[in-house]
Amino acid sequence: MTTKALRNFAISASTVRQRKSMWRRRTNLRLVVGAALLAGTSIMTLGAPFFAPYSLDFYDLDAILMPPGPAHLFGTDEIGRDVLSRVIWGGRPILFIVFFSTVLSLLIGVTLGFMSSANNLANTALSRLADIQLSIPSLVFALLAIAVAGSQMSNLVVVLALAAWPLHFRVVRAHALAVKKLPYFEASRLAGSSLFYRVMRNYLPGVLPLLAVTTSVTATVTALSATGLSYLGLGVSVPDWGRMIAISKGQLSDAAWASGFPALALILFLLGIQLIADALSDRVKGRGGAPHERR
Amino acid sequence: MAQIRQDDSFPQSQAAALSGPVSAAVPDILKRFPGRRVGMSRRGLLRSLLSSAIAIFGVLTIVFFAIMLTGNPALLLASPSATHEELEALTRLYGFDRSLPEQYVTFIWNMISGNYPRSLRLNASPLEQILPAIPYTLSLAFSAGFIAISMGLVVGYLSVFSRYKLLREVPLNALAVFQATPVFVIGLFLVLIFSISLGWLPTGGSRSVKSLVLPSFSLALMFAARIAQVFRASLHQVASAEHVRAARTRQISEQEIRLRHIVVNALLPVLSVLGLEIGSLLGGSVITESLFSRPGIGSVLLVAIDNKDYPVIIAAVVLISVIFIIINTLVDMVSALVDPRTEASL
Amino acid sequence: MNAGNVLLDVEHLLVRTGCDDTSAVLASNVSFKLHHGRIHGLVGESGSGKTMIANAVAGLLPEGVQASGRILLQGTNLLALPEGAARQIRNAHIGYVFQNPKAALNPRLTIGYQLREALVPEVRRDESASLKRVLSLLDEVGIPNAYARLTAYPHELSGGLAQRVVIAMALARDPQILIADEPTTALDMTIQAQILDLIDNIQTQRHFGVLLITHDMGIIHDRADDITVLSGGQIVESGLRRAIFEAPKAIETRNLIEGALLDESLPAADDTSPAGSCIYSVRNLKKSFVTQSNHRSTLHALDDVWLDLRQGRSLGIVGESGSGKTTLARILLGLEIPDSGQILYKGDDIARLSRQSRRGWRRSIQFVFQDHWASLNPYQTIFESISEPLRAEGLGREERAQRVLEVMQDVSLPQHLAARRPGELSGGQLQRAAIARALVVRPQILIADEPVASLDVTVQARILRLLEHLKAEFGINYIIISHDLRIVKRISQDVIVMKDGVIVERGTTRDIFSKPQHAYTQKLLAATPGGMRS
Repeated sequence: MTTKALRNFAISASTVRQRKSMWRRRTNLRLVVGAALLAGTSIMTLGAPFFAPYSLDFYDLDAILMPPGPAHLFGTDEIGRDVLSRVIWGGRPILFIVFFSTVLSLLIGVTLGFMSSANNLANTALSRLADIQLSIPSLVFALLAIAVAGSQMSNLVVVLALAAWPLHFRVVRAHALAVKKLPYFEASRLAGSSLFYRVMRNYLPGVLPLLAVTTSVTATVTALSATGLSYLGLGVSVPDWGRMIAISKGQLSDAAWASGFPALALILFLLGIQLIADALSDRVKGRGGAPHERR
Repeated sequence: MAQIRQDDSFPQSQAAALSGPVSAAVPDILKRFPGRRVGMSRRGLLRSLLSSAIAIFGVLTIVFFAIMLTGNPALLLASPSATHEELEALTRLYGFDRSLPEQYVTFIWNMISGNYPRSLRLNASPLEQILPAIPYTLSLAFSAGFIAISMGLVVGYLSVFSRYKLLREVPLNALAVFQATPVFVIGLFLVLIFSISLGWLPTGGSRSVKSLVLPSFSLALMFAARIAQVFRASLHQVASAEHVRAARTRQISEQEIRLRHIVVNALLPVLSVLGLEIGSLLGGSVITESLFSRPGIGSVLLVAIDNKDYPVIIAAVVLISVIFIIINTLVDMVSALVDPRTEASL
Repeated sequence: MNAGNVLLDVEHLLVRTGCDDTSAVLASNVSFKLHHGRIHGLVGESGSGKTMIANAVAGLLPEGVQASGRILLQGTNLLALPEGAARQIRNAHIGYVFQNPKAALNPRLTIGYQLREALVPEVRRDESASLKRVLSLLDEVGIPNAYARLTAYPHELSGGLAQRVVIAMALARDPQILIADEPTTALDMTIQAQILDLIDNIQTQRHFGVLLITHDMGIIHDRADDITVLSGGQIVESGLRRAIFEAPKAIETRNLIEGALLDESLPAADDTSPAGSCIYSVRNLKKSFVTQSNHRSTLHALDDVWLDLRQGRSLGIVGESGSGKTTLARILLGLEIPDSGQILYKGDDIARLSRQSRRGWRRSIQFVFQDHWASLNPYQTIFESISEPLRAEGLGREERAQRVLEVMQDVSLPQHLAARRPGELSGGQLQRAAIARALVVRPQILIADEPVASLDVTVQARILRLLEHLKAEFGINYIIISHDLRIVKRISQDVIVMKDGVIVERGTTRDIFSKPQHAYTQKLLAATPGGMRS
């Protein structure tokens, strides 16, 4: 792009300056709302011992399927358990799985991504591995793993991390390969800087926003998979939102609150992550993507 | 295609010399105007097939390792009440006592030739359970895909080109909300409204086309938003491209410009997103089949997991993955058809 | 000088973004006439408004930009008509040649299809008539083997070929006016000359009017009949070619002429000082690459190259794309390893240097990259980028700061920019920063790859003057790589000309420019705008 072209673009872009600032406000709004939703549901769940009026298993057979009222703010389910408490408690398994699985997938993906950019052989081998992992739909992969190894929390964390690492891997790898070709990377090399310095200064600042996007996307997908599994009854043994929805789905016509409130909590949680993911990815794209994608 | 790139030096006088009657140089039978050059080269086709073959091998390998990791594979294949002798017989039969590479090769060979271990429940090949289920899954997947693509493209198009602000904003945001909702929640929601409250559509089963409506829509809403977003971004990008400006200088209608130069060009990124989303589509179909009681592969898989019927589990997982890989390869081929440049980089 | 009919009459044209307080004026009070049978050059730097004016005439203004005033095409004021009617008239009578030919073609469609689309609807309808017309257009623009090309896709064409296709499309409706917006910026020198010759020929044959927009005064000198000079959106001078060049009145005009490094006004690099010892030598250099694409072929980037760099004399390496000049530079720096050959630094083979001396060698030869936008880390401040080589030397913070500020002064880079990021600097400032970074370790040799490409003409002149000044003050030896002979002539005493990985000619600047021996050198000289013949 010539200087002239850039100037022209800047001039024409000034007419969209108004549109852009409005759009940036919209991005920030999404970030804020998303973070609020996520934080809200997380705090509520983590603070279950304090917030929940009843325990998870407490049931009262005299109060079956009661609609929301003063004693039970969200009503009760088929065997008289307080829905509100169960909703508050029910987020824990999901929260834990999503968190640990996402972190694990990051560790695997980033490490392998680095290794792959350093060495040609590693590059081909690991890329193929990532492709193969992506050739099995993640839910199906999880089902296989559960069938073979059971559905303890640790298994689920590992399996879902395995399904998700290729996403981080690809991003880290692509960025590394692109930065290597950039003039400023070579200039750094010519200046005699150490490898550590070069990686920190030239590579890291560009990849962090990208990883932020993939992390939030991974969190969303993992959450969806985890709840899907528990809906199918194959998740952890501790009741969580998916399980609750599944159990009470028969009452939909008469007592929608038993399934409805867990569903609502789930939606808010997922929406929070989704909004953050969208806002971050728009941010990165709006800035023109990674430096190697610009111009 | 012969190399077009030639030496550019071309004396000006030659141009003048050729200004005579040109049509004489063109044989009469070739008077037809050559249109688009369509079709993949043989090389591209082979490449696609090769990578799908590798992917299938990869999947089989993963399944193999999953089985081996359990420690005693014979246990998986035997019924729970098997005696020690029966286990030993099984072990020898399937060669579990042989070396790992040997087992691997045998396994791959069996999978490819369709020689699956017998289902524990029915004592027949798992294929007998799975094959009849395939049409139900495929019909669900394709109709969901079709609905999602149509919705996504229309909403994306409207969000860029519609004159009405409402049409530009509302559908896109509505779809975005659905994107964050798990498929079973959407499904239950739709059932609540259309089956239970309104009674228009059945809650499940597989009898009629009507029973396909709700499951397809639940599944489609899962990723229609993504398609709309990607299409929208792509449209924006293409609309400001130089070739669109060039098209404006020609004597064609705005409509033609929009369609031929903007919309079709913008479809390419949508195709690549599609490839990624099909995975979640197939995963989601498992849940959807369960919710709507459709007898597809997903249901077979779930039942098998319940019964710990490992041969069926293995077969189902492999087949679903194979379907996924095939669809992905098809999408890649369509991409190459749509954009001639992708083939160059394939 | 037959003035001919007036094809286009622009009166008091005003181009602005938006019509409220936040609007910016891109061009104001612009008036000129385009006559039948003449080439009218609109020349100015980037931001001078010349492209916006052309866009206004052609109806291609970007969204949000508006034009007011009168644009009279065959007597009709285009700006007074509703958009549809104006567009119809424009499309029928104006042909537009775009700056970036490959971008102007839809990558998804064959060029045959797009050519047919460019035809008049009456002809378009009929297949054989379309075919005949398209083939004759392709012949007119000098594309051989036209019928086979019809099914080609844009990405399969070379730059020059693609631009010919774009010109063909512009001619398709037999326009009366051809607007060429920087038609050769994206092309190699020799191809540039071909395309401009083509436009000349077509203009002679069809006898229409051409509006030629460019920033290169050399091109204007060679091709234009009438000239309008623009700066900051306003006309600063206009007139016939001879008048403008013999007696330019406005400062901007003079700057542009100087910046174009025209032959007449061009001082050859000072050749008086005697040659010193040989500091850098290359012998028998060979390098090949195996391409990773579909067809694995071997690209012989360099074949048996040798050169000498002597103390006190700068070397210019001239070549077009694919000549191997960049590969050569990278090998000289140690970024690539040659397949065979020797590189001697002060007599020692660099492949055999001890660790210590290797570091010394690394210090003494520095590089200024071609793409100055990408040669500085966008996440770091200018200060950090410039001081990076000093960090590796192990200097303390205080000393580094001092050195950086010193070198910034040397390159006339304002100190307050040290805390800014590259995104906030202009092109010229970025290039100075890149030069500063290269100089901060006080190298003996500075290799600059296209040091002034994609910079405004006046900025180019300033950077070149800076390089000369630095050489005089610090005794640096340059190796300047460029595709533009004018720059090489200005800066270097010795020249080597490369084509396809081979050195086709070498010699002193004076000799090469006055008595070029090799056919390729002669071709390059002939293709350089501004008349570099002897």
